[in-house]
Amino acid sequence: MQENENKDRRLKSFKHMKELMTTYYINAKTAEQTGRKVAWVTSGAPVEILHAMDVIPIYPENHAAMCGVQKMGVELQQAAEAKGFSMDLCSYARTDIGSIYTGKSPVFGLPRPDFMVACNNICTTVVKWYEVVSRIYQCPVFMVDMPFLTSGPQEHIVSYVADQMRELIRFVEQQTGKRFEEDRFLDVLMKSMETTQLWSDILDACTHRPAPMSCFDAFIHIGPIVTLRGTQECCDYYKILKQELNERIRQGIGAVPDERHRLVWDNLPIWFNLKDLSDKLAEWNTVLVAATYADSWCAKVYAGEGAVDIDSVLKQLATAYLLPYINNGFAERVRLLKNMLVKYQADGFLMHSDRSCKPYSLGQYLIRDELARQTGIPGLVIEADMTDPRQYAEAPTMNRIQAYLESLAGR
Amino acid sequence: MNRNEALEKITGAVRNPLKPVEAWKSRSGGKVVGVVSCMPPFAPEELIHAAGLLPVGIWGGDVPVSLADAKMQSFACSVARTSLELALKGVFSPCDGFVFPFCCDAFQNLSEVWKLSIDRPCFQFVFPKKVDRGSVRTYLEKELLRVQGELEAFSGQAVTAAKLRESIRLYNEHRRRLRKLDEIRARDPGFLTAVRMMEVVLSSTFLPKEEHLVLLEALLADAEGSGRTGKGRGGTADRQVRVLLTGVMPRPATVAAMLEEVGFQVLGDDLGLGSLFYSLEIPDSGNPLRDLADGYLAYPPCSTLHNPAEQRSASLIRRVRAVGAEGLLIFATKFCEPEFFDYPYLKEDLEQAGVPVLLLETELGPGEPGQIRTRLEAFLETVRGKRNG
Repeated sequence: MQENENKDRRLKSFKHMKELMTTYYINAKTAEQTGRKVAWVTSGAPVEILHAMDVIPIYPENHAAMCGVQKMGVELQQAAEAKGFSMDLCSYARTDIGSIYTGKSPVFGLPRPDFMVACNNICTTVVKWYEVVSRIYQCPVFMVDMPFLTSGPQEHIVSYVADQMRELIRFVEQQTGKRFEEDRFLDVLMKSMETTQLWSDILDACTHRPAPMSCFDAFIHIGPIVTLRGTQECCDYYKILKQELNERIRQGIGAVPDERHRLVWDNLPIWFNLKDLSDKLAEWNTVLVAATYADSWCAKVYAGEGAVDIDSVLKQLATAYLLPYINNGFAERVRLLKNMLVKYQADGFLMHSDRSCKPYSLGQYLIRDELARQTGIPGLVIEADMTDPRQYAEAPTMNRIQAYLESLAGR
Repeated sequence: MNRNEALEKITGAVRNPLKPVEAWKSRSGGKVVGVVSCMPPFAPEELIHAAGLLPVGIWGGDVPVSLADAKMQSFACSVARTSLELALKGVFSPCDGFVFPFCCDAFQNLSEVWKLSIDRPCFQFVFPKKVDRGSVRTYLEKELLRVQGELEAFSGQAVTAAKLRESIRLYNEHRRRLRKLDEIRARDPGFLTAVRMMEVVLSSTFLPKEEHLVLLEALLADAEGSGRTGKGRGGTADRQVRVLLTGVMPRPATVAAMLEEVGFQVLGDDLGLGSLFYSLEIPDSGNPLRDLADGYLAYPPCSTLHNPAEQRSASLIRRVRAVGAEGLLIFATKFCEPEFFDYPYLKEDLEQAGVPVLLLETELGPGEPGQIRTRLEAFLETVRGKRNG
């Protein structure tokens, strides 16, 4: 009964996403025949520039997450460890490096990159990780240096990143042998902006009670916005998803039965535990209504203000890419989390202290305390890892979450 | 001052860094800033000095972690964790403020934790990750200018071009002397052991540069006097094995001290808290802030900057050959992402070039490091075996 009920709560749009992503992977796998180039990108890379030049962006972080969901993580990580990569390194990096070495993957491996684009607006890890991959495949990597914002996107930082966007454009021109066309780029940007707005609306659907989806759904539906924003197919897909959520809101269908607790999630998902944790929370009538991670793709790439001159467009693009949650100092993180708690009417928050993600995790306990001090809402930190189950003690963690929810109920 | 007196002062400063700091403070009435990092090359020390402030290096310590445990999780490196521990215990109370030159994700977040935990002004300096690209120069110059403004407001003294030029000259002179020591060490490793050299470099981050310069002069004069300035190795005994060090810092000291005990001769290093730090030569073109940016952008390849792994391997292989080392020891602090990402390929490249490599995973903290001595001994035997046939 429970099983069927949960099944019914699954989003039907999922099959459309699967089609979209399958077509995308097939295109990438056959890029050589169709004369297109493949670029590996980090989750915070300006894919609009790539789409405008017919390059297919491939997103290894997403691949590592899929390996995690399919519980292939440990096997692949051990393959990387056998090559000398320390077990203390990021588990996404170890998973993908292991996948390259072994050829094992839930999607028959990622297509070989012609070049790569790494942006450190999410972490410095990607810089080192892409150096390794660049060496394995003997392909060049362009690193866009996006300085950490200690106090907002100051002018000299924005100019620096905008300058690098130009350098990136020249790099992609060299790699593809194609000319960058401004008009095409602006079209892609407008499409990207429309899609980002859709994604934002989709996440906002969870401001409703009951929330029509949970952040677990958002995590699963995150692939297209990360890699395909700027394309028509991606935009079309999120229209379908948005419509389904609106329909659910109209019918009063919630992501979990008898919604009681609404929580905000911080940090990456625990991919290998996604389903179990999702089922447990549903059983406890608890829904994750928002996540700082899902919110990272909401920054408007182009506000469309003023004259369309490429300089100001690149500056706006630079600003948008500097703004992801974890590229900000703690005061800003607390502010963003606080806004989320209010906007989504959450009564608590779960923080995943992710052993693999230092910039997201280190110091999280202070953010929790500061947030609790400012809002009166208590938070729970759980220690885990995004794709390495060897760093996770499931039973005690579930007990702690349950006890936390009981304490929320008693408030 | 003779060699022994100079070394005594150096060891004294390393044992109790706060004593000379407090002496400077009461003498000058100036403010002290702690520089929290593990990569000295990224600290804009010339700028701090030109603002009339005393920069003092904070590099963690061999202490257990208790207060910092909840604020900085266990998967941050021991340098970051023990630095915070010492700060929370009030050990750095003579510091009026702190400067954070970003070198990695852990130290970036440490600066944010510090801001919320320690009631002193904190200045964050976001060093770029890639130094060889057109756009970076303007950024770094403006970032330095931003930090300069903060430091001026803090110290109440303007950093004039003349003052900055003077500071740059002092620091250049200081680094040149450290390089001179390095040259002597490469030819005559008995001159300064690995631990001694680490103390020389560490003490230079605690003492005012003007004072440290005098100590370096004494050491150099001694070398001159005893004819150690380049007349062969002073006899490498057969059982000793000549090595080069790389990594961030040669610590804990207990491990550095083991090197000669076990039978290694250290001919040099490209450590962050070592020759990377004093390889810099800031140019003198008339615009000191731009010179500072240009000088910093000339850093040799290291794990915390983005450059193809081959560049660091190639630069190490060149150094190994130049000084005639037989092996390479990598000092990597547990949880140091930049170092551990580089390690597999450094090993592969150097071994391919015929240079054996040993990784030493170390941690700051109390107590003896476990199996490191055994690993060092085994490595020594391997290299000697290779020599014989």
